[in-house]
Amino acid sequence: MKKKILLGMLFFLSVIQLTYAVNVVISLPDSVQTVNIDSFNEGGKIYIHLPSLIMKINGAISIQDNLVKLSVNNKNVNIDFQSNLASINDISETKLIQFQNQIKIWQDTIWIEMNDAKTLIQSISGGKLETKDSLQEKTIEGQPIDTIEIKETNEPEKEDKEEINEKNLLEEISTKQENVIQKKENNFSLDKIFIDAGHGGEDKGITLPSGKYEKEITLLFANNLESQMKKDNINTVLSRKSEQFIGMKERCNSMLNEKVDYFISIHTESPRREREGLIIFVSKLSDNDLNTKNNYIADEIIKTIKEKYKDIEIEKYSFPLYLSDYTNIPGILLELIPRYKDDLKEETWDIFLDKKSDIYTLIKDAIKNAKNSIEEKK
Amino acid sequence: MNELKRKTIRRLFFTIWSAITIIAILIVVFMVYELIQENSTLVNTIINTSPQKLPDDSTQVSHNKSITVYVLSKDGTCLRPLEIQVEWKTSYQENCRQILNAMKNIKVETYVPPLPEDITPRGVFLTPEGELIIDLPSLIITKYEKNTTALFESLFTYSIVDSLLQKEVTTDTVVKGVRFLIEGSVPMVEFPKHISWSQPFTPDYSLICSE
Repeated sequence: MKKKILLGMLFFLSVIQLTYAVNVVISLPDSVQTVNIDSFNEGGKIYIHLPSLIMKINGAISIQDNLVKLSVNNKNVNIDFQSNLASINDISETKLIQFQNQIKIWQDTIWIEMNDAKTLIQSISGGKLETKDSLQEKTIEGQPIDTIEIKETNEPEKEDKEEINEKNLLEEISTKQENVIQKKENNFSLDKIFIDAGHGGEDKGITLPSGKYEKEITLLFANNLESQMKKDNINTVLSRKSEQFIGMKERCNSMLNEKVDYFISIHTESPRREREGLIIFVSKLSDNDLNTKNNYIADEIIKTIKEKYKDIEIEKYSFPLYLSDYTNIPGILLELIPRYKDDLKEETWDIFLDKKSDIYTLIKDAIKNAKNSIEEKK
Repeated sequence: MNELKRKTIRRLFFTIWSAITIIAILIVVFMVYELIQENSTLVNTIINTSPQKLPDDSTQVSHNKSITVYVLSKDGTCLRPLEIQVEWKTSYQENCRQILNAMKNIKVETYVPPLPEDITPRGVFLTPEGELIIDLPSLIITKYEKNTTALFESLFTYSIVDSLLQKEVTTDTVVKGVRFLIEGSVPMVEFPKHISWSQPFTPDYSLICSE
């Protein structure tokens, strides 16, 4: 019996030794030190004990409010507990590094993910941080023996697949974006217009006092605008034809796949008491020439509407828009503003949907005028 | 095998086993000693870290300063200037934190603060390139995701940008723009949905109420 207990103890001790020790080789400019640093594994990532790591490279550490303050090699490092940003200051320079993971508090002490620790050590001491290959196998409390993978070229984990798909989509967008930039450098035209009915499906947009959803109004407006444009043989692409959810990235991808030249994104604003109106957000791009042309189209729309309906209040702003930012395609976002009816429970939509139904025609006319003018200038 | 041989083998095994046990005990003692040593070093290091060695914002000389900030009008159609008092320090980032905090707590009926009271930025940093980074918590998405319009997003953004990048706040610090992050990353899709936060913002006073 005694023998069994002692043998058990011996096994337990060996396991303990393997559980908490990750041998880390810190390569500093003047020396190479091998040290044991406490570690724990969470979600396939190794976290190492930040205070002991800093002390091994002759640093000091203190905690104040939400800041971890380190002092190493005459450099002061502030890491915000709640953020993944660290600022490194010395007399001559200030650097800012962004960690991939948040610093963790575990067992009342501070832990940093291994790869983030590497970045930190590299930034503050110019040294490297390497784990010793022979000690990479370790056991975690109650878990099977696991191999620590710390190489940058790790195979992606299952839970990261979604993120990778997103990255692929963004890369795809980026490649197509470059083609668009090249195309825009050569010429600017209004041959194909993307009409984006904002929101849709589970994304209802704002709810208006009458109970209508933004997604219903934008779809109706977009369909009407499209039919007007078709009458004049203007080539159009609709982001959605029915009541369905389409994500922003899919909309961007559709714009790039269809090689559209311009977009009109339809949205609505909360009703106002004074009068109906329209806000035109002109996409702000890095290319000044495109911005000028884009503003010209917006001005043309304002001019055409104002000529017929002086009572419609129209505001214009130039801000970076999501659809433009990820496609580099110029365009506008129209935000329709209804007016409250007297009882304040229902908004009027008559300017766009009933009495002033030619608003679609006016927008189409403005686009057509702008198109002709641009072609003439060519 | 006779009894004597069996006894000898048993004794031999017992000796080996005893030796292993003694080594194990020695390892435990050594580990405990190491642990105590390490903890005392940590304690000493923390105790010995004097405020003089590390920069401490609380040691900065401060005084109250009156600053004009831009907050949303009650009807949510434009930005209205409002004068507030903030504790002024020498660090630009710290002053930005103070202003954002003061903006959250504005309790004037005709003004709407851009940040709700329960939202505190995770970080406010100035990069060496002169980019002010405001890292917001994901709670902001929960707050605004469902009822956001392009106008609201613009007002929210420029309320902060116009307030923090005005000359009387930046003073001698070179600040080229404000970059917004949510949980340390450039936000995608949930909030903001209409305008893009992928690039830093420079002030734009076109949203300020005309009257």
